[in-house]
Amino acid sequence: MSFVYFVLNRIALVIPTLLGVTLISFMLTNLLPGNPAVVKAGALATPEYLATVERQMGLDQPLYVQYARFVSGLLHGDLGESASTGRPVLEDFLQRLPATLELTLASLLIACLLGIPLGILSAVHRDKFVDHVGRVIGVVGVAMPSFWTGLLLIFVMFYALEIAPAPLGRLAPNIAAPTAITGMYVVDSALTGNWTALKSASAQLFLPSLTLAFSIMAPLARMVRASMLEILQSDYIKAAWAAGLPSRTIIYGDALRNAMIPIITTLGTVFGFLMAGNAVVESVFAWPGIGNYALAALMTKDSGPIQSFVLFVAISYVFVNLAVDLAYGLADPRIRIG
Amino acid sequence: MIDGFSRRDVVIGGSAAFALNGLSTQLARADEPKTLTVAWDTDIDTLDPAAYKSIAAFTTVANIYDSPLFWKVQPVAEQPGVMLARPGDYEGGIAESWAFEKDGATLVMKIRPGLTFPSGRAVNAAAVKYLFDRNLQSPGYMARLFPVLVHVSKPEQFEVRDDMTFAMNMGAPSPMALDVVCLLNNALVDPDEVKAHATDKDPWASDWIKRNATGLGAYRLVRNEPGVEVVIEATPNYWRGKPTFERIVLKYVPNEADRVLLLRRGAIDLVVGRAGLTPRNVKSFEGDKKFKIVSLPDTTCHFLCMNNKKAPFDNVKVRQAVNYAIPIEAILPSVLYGYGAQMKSPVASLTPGYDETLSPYKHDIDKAQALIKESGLKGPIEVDLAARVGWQTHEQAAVWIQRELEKLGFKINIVRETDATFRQIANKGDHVLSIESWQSWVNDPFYHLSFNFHSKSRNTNVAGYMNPTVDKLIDDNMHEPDKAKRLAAARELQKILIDDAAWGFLWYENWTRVTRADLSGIGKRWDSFERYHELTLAAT
Amino acid sequence: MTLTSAPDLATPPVRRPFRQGMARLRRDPVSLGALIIILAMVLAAVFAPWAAPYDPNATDISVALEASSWAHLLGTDVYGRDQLSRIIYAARIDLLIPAAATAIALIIGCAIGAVAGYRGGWLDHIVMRCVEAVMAFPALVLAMGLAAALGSGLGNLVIVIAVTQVPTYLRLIRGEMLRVRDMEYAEAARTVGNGDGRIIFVHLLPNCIPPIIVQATLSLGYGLLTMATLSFLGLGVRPPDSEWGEMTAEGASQIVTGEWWLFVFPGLAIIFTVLAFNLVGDALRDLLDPRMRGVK
Repeated sequence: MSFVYFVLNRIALVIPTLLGVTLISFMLTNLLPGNPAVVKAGALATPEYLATVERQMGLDQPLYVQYARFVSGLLHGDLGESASTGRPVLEDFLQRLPATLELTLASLLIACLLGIPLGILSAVHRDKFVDHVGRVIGVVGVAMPSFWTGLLLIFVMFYALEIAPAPLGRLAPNIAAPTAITGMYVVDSALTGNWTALKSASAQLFLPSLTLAFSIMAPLARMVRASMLEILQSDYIKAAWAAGLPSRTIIYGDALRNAMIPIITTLGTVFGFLMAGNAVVESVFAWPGIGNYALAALMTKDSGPIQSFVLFVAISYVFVNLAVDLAYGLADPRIRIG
Repeated sequence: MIDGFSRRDVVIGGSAAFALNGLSTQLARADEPKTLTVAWDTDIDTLDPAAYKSIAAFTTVANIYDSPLFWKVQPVAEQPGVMLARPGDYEGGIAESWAFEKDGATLVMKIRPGLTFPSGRAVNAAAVKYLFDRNLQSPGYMARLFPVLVHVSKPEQFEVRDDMTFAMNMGAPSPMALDVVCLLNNALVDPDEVKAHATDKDPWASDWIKRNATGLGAYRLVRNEPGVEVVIEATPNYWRGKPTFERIVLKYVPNEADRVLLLRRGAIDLVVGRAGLTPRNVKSFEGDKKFKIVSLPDTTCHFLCMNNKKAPFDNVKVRQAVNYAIPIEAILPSVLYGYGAQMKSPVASLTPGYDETLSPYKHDIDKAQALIKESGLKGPIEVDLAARVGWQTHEQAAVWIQRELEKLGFKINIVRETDATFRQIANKGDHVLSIESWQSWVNDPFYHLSFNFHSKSRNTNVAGYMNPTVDKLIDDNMHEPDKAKRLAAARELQKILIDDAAWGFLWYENWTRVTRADLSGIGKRWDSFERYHELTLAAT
Repeated sequence: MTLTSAPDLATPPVRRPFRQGMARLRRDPVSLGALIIILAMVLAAVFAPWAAPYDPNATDISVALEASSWAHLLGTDVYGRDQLSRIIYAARIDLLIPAAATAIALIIGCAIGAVAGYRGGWLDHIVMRCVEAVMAFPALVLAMGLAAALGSGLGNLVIVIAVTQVPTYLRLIRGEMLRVRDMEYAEAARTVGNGDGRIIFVHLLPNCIPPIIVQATLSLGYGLLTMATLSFLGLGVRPPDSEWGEMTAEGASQIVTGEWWLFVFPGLAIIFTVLAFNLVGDALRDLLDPRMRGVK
């Protein structure tokens, strides 16, 4: 089985999944109770005016037509219009996406910085104190709902100890946003040398990203530990020990490099998890990202933003997993057969 | 115009927020003394003056557009620095003066000379006619109101007498004519700008005007970033002069706890919007010298909507029993914290003709139980009580009401619905029991009664109340020019509706704002939206 | 929130699991503690009217928003309701809904997964494409969308949680089926002339029970977390029913005035319960699946 065949096969498998994803997200939003046109038209709307609004919103068409329009719109980058902002959803969405990406990447970074060393140490010092601590963190971390972690962090770090800034979005009030380059405030302010904004943006980012990181750190550490253990017990590592190589070289060189493959796979799953956790954390910290946007839309039955959020998360999840699959296949030829 | 159906565009979840480490106070406005920072919780959905829209949109339109006439606000004796509209008090806007002809059947307005649109074009009577023509014919909101309120259904009734004189030929007198002209929806747009963006499919440029402002108001829109902020800046050479605050930043802060926090720390000056601050949080500012609480009686009615068409509330005895079971003496202090008053009539306490002596209802569970016995109702009867998510006073009141109604043999399930769901079910008349609110922007008893109790007001008569006597009284007096006769009819209607227990009468909620202590000049009109140009800073 | 991954479990039948389990519990105080927590929660839920010191819905304005005291161990809320009593009553929903969802997901997932795995071919293909489409959504995002679509109500909540769990069971059992369908005893059952249905459900499925038990235990915890999160976001349980996530949300809005006990205690109830289910699930896995022992 050639590598090219493997790649094409994996990509082909993605297509029915994507179709299914569009169908499911379309069905979800069309099942939503409440007619958005009624809210939009207002209390005194005549039936004729209501019909006009419904027509404008495309709600008078049969479902399959709406679905076809939806898919063709998607292909043209048209995600419809948001009823609560009166703007194209894509525009709203792109405006908020950097906030979500910033939060996601920061928490991924924190989770890796904390989770991977913890996993390694637990594996190396198996059944020692570090391992036990790691296990407790793992077990408790998995059981803590992230909204509660967020509230607790806010209460302790902000309210009680007063060391964190108010959990109100991405910048302290009265600090102007840095010149937009990537849209991620921390990156932009660093690039433009805007230290006031950098300080504020990093401080604002800290608690939400820590909250989100905490929810994925535990499974990450657990996975790192498991794969490290497996590698450390493998023949060639045993051979390396026998050859008298320094343990530092063995652990952080050969073993870690080999353990990274399953870790990368975990990151695929972790990413999907982050996207879901985002919505909750964004809501707790008033973070103006796409998760919050979708949650807000759920309340007004504004189907455009909800559809876009659900779709975006699912599609990016599919592609991240595809990328992980391909990278994995590239790194480990045995996989291709599966 | 209308409405207490004010929709709020969302608040989810809990958040976070707390006391104040004076972190940002030193950052605040030392360098920009002329910026006013306001927090709200909605986004602008459309800027089309003619359309029905979100609170953020109405607030913005109120500040970037002017209408031909304004409700006049005057200082309130007991609250210095606060201005209030009074019934029947108007002042010139785009039109500098007005007069009635033909016994009130024609309204003539003289356009204020010297006004120009931002484009440089002069404002004239033709521009005013275009505004009314557009509102009457575009698929907006006003088309429905003109015929009902001022007998106008054809654009020919809007007449350009000469370059600076405009006349509205109503054909018959209407007591509500001036109020209708004051409505925010009748804001003046630049006809040439609008026409330039009209298309065959969209002759009134509704798509364009949704996102573009083309008015002549105290401010102009400089930034609209949904979910973040809206910024408006003073219009140069505005005809009413330069405002104290030249820049208004309206920040989107969806969580109430966060709004409280920002206000406490001085990071914002004012909280607006329907959700704004709940009475409990307003209470927490009492006694704090750094803040001023402005609280005025308002025209917003909050009521327990009983479906008059569905059992068991089709039985008048049951409806009366419910009115005696409402624990108003618990709700006023523990839900409204005193920022409201018992609703003693189907009309608001500020509405002309209001009579507070008619209602016998007070919390009296024995009487309520006796009435239930008379009604022949056999419990337990399971009923859903609908309240809107995020309407905190309603959700809390629902819990208090639930306990009391259970003493009458009901089994009450509180159902929380999002605004969209709630509104749709209500318009279809499918709620059996719900907590509703209504504010009449035209502060007139017949406007109010006609929308809420006339059997033909399909979408707005949410209780499904039907009574031919009431219908006739409303129809006969809606446009009655004789004031005394009209008010007497209004009183008679109140009596009938109270005796019939058409609604479960809950409370009138005050219009309440917490501001920094030195903010002065805040005004409340019938539509409840602030006009920022009249705000000033008191010398400290 | 938790990361759900179907454990890849082999299933040599365990002999005398009960006795082994008891022996293990004696050596493992953590799992014992977890089991005790679960039992205590179940008892509290079942006997809530006796366990709770107050009527959970009794409002009393004179004691509104009081912190912990002897009269009200966990304080009171804005309506003066006793929080301990509310948490105890809420346990009914917090245990029952995930349990019902898990049962439904288990039955549906196992049935489809078993047939797809046993039959293979086009049926298996279609089923797996559907599963992939559903699994393309992170569980919580799918749950949010579904919860919003179906509306509030306990029954709908059960469906929402069940839907997010079905793929896990389906894939688990399908994998097991693929493994066991060609084993000797399956062949034997076929040669004797058993029908497919009988082979699947009588001969093969029982061999897959141990991993199902482990997964079901873990699912209870995940289900509770999903439900609490949905309720926190306003998409799940509605008042007057109380649920720990919903109580946390109500408490969160009181933090501004310093009433911390309103969000802390319901959250702790969630954590302890989920923790207990996870620990018991892990212990069961060790017990029923010796292969995993070394790794954990």
